[in-house]
Amino acid sequence: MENLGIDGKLMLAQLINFVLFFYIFKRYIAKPFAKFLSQEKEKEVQKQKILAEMQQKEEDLAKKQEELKKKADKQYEEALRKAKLDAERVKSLIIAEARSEAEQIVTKRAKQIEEEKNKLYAQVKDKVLELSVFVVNKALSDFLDQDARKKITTEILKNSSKTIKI
Amino acid sequence: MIIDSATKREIKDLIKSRLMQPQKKALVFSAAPLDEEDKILLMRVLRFLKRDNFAVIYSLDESLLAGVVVKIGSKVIDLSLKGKLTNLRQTMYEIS
Repeated sequence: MENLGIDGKLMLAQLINFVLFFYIFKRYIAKPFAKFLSQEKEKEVQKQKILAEMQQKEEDLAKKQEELKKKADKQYEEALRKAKLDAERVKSLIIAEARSEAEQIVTKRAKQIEEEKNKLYAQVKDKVLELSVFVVNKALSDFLDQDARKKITTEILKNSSKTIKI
Repeated sequence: MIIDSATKREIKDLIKSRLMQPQKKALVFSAAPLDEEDKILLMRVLRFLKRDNFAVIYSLDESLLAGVVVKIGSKVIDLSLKGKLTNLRQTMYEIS
């Protein structure tokens, strides 16, 4: 073995060294490192788990938001539909009221016109009669002389058959 | 006939009071002057003129055309042709 250049003692020392190194490495480096790695692995798993959970929650939230949005849209449409119906109803009422008022105004105006017409007719009638009597008056005052007046006076007094009391 | 003094006094007082009473006036307007016949006819129609001792004052008013109008205070009795024309006008107005 010495001819090959292998030193027994050195090999032994190397071996012991190696065993010691192995023992120390295993005990003080590998184990804690492995533990550390496993801890890190566990942490990572937990992180993934939390992430998955959060993603799930996010999806749920998005879903809920979507549902709420749909509900709100539906309510909005319903409110819009009701408002349109109300507006139509109010519009119809206003139109009906306006029509009724217009009819009333027309009727009232027609009545006023009729009244004014009757009034005018009465005035014209009165004026015509007044004029006629005036003409007759004038004609008689020109036509009747003293004799005629006296005769008519006598006739009037004679024809007043019933006595007049005061 | 002997009348006792008390009765005499009463009769005197009565006559005095009648004479003291203010005489009622009646204004008669005619279109032509009234002769006696017309006045008699008027008294016949308005008997109270004579009975109630009215003082009748006659006046001319040619605007009456014919007939008479008698005014006693605020009361008017219209027997004139003008009045009849006015009534005719009123009647025609009511009829038409």
